Amino acid sequence: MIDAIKKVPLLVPLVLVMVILSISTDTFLTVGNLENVLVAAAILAIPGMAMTFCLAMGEFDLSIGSTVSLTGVVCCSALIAGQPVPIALFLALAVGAVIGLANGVVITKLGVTPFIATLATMVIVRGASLAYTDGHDQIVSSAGLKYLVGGRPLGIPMPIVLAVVAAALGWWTINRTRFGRWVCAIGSNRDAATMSGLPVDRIRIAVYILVGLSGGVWGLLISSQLQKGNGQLGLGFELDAITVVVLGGTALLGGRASIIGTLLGAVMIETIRNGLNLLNTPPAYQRISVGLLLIAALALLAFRREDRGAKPKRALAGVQESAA
Amino acid sequence: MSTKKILSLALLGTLALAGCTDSSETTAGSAAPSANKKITVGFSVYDMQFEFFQKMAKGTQDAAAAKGWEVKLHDEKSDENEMVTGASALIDQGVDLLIISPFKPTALGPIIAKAKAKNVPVIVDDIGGGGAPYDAIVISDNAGGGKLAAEFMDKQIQANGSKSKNVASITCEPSATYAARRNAGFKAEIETRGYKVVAELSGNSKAEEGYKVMKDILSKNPDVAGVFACNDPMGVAAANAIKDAGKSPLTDIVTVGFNADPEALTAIKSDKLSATIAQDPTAMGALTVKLGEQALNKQPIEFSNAPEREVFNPVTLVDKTNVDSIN
Amino acid sequence: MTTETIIERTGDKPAKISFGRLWDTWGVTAILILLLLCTPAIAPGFLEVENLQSVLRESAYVGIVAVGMTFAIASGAFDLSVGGQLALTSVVSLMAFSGGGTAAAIAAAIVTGLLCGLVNAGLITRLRVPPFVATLGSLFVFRGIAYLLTQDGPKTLPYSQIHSPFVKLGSLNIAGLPLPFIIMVAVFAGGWILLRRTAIGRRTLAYGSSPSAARFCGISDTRIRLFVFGLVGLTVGIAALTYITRVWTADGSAQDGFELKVIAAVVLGGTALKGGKGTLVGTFSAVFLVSVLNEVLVSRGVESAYQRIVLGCVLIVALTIDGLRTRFAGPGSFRRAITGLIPRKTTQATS
Repeated sequence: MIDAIKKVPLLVPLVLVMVILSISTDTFLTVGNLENVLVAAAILAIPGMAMTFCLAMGEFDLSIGSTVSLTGVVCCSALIAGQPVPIALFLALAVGAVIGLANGVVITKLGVTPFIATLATMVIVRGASLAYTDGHDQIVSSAGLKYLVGGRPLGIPMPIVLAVVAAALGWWTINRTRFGRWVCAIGSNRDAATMSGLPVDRIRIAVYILVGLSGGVWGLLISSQLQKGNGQLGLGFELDAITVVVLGGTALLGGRASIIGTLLGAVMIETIRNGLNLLNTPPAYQRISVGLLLIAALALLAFRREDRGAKPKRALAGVQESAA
Repeated sequence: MSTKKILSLALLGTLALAGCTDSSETTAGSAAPSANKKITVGFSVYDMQFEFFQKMAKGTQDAAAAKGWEVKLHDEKSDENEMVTGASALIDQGVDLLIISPFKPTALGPIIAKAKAKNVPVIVDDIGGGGAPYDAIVISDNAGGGKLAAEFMDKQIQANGSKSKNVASITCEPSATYAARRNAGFKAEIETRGYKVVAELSGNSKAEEGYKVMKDILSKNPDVAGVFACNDPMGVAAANAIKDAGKSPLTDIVTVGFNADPEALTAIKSDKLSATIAQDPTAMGALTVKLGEQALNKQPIEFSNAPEREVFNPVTLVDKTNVDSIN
Repeated sequence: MTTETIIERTGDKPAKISFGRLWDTWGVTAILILLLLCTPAIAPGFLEVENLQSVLRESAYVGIVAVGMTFAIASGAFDLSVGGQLALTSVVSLMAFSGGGTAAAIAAAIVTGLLCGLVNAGLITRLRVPPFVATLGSLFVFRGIAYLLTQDGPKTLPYSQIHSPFVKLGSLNIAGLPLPFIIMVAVFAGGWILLRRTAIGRRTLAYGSSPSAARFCGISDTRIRLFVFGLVGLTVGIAALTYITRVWTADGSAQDGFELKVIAAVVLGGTALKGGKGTLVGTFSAVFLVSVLNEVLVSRGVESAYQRIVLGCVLIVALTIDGLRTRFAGPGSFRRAITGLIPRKTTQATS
């Protein structure tokens, strides 16, 4: 148990928040509401998984919110054009993957810093989505698309199923495959990774494609909920996705990844949001709460890292040695 | 290093100077206004990415074209900095009349100060006047629209036979103080009819958040009999959330939006939304041109609310019975 | 080519002016000048006095904060909270103006900005939250407080104050140059002296290139963080003054996405995200490159959706040149960067 808490420090504040909400509201701890929170968290966790890889690699992708918009638009306009649902879903995911590929190529082959490259694609893709729709909604009424959020295989809501599958795959990849180790190796020291002969560029491109794909899934889920796509959807989603990962404890500087942490991060964010709504909190206080929560959770994580405070000294010792 | 910097500044400076000499000639030629010159009207629009403002721009342009005027369009792109910069630029370009749908009404001050200095009348279209001395403002009756929504909701809840007297209200982002009048108008009217607004939450004008907020409302108050949303993206999203929760956005929870966006009209036609409140942006655009002409000719304007120089453009309730007559 | 490279490498003492080094500092400036030279052809109205003044005036607040951000990024950290700081500082300053006039408004803006910066520094040094997350969190908090203060509607400069000296801060022209632009140039000059001519500036750069090595040399983490984030706060305070005297209003949502605008300008200017390198000349030019480009697109009547696409592409192209250069870093790099674009067989080993 203590080991679990050490590994996933977010567990304690999450349980704490849930207990507080269960006491202060009579509706938080109902099956319907918990399902509501978990579905929302699942939708956030899916892109969170891919973003975990990206952050573990020491980089991040700002374009995912725009990807959500464009893939939603692509899917809905394909449906409007009379394409069957599988084709529409495939097209949307393909667009997501292409955006990821473009990010990866610009970053690795043209050497543009990820921050600027993905910032630029964020602007370009949003522009493409707006230009294509000309500000109009692409409205659909598709039972097939609705299945993505409304379906209940084995009685479990579809987004939760998808998130669990994504998390299982993510955990397995990070902890049990060569690819996962490589991603973390690049995150902890890219130069060393390059020198040890890892196909660094290809790994980075693969991770950006993964993020693009997950943005596509996110876009499909949002369009499934709203039964539409347009250029305004997904604004600011990039921060949500990154926040979830950071909250989960995947270090921003790379080299470590916590899939479980990301899952809990998503649950935490959605629990807080749901709780504040159940308590009828005015929006200004909601923003402050989210900010304070972020700082508090991260301060907690940082204190836990105190014991690794010796690290700089070790680094310095290294400098001394090499100087000598 | 420092010499390089000085060099760069000098370069920029000379460029700027070159620009100055260049431009003084051109402005001298074009700035002389003649009495019979074609009237140019500048229209600074909130954000052309929204269908509502596309229609407003169309209404303005068509009405101006009918008078043989030229229209210079500027897109504020939902940014107060761009709004001030672009609208001031229109005045610099020598427009005779400025029509503006302001992204931030409270940022109208510097624009109107500049317009006054150049004797350019300013007509505000929608959103709000921000307390600045504009010549007139055309505005939808937001509070009146909220009231219409409440009247409809009450009638429909009784027709549905719901016993619950609980309703919910979804608001726009907290900074949209003028849109907040819709929820305020709704609340005032529905409460006098004996209902209770058990949840008033913000969906920040976004469809995604409107959906989540509605889910939370359903968790907390499964018995709500109606919900009013401050705009249609949130209204239709709320209706989707209600449907996903296995209820009907017509007979279980009366769902009313605001704006009469195409998505809302489609939803009403296919029984996915109870009603919406229609503003008429095209007519509003045309009305601003008419008021602008009166201001240019120094004719008196007939105000709906004289102290605030407001001219109301009526709003109408759109439900299944009259949805086909809209556009 | 290979022999040339070797000679250059061995004869190192008087470092030859290579394309790479020039590009570092002057690349964006060159692009800006090129664009300005093209404007008469592509945007005829651009060079009119009033339009030029408007461009200089509207860019000032971004430029001023970009100075602080250049220090932050040079020290290896982001400040994501500048948008929240700007909103909060503007709101507080407008409140102070209605209470105590021009002097109070100016003092309030500076103090609030500094306080915001100190809060960030405190979070980073005392609570040991990484700067990225600390400032992401404080972004929400600052905006939230600004929202709380403006629950009854945005704070504004009342129209009756049109002749107040405070308003002049945003609208006055001195010798044809807008006052906000003059303030911005002054901030840039001050920043340049701080960065290049003072110990704390050099320490910031040293800290940015290697925090652990800097610590080893006795540079204090806490002092660097306090200096850098305090400076960002201070520049936000000054920027807020030029901002509110131009738009006359502020609330919690003021300048949403401001942080990305500022960071993009700094990085476009040539300051490395890794830290340890900062160029204020580049930042200066980058601020204007973006706003001139924007102005040109607007005057060409390009729709906003396509404006985004063009701006994004320009960002990528500008950074691609830099990226290729660093990728094939070293003397003679330009030629290799160009040849690097063509698929190679034999040069694989050298890179």
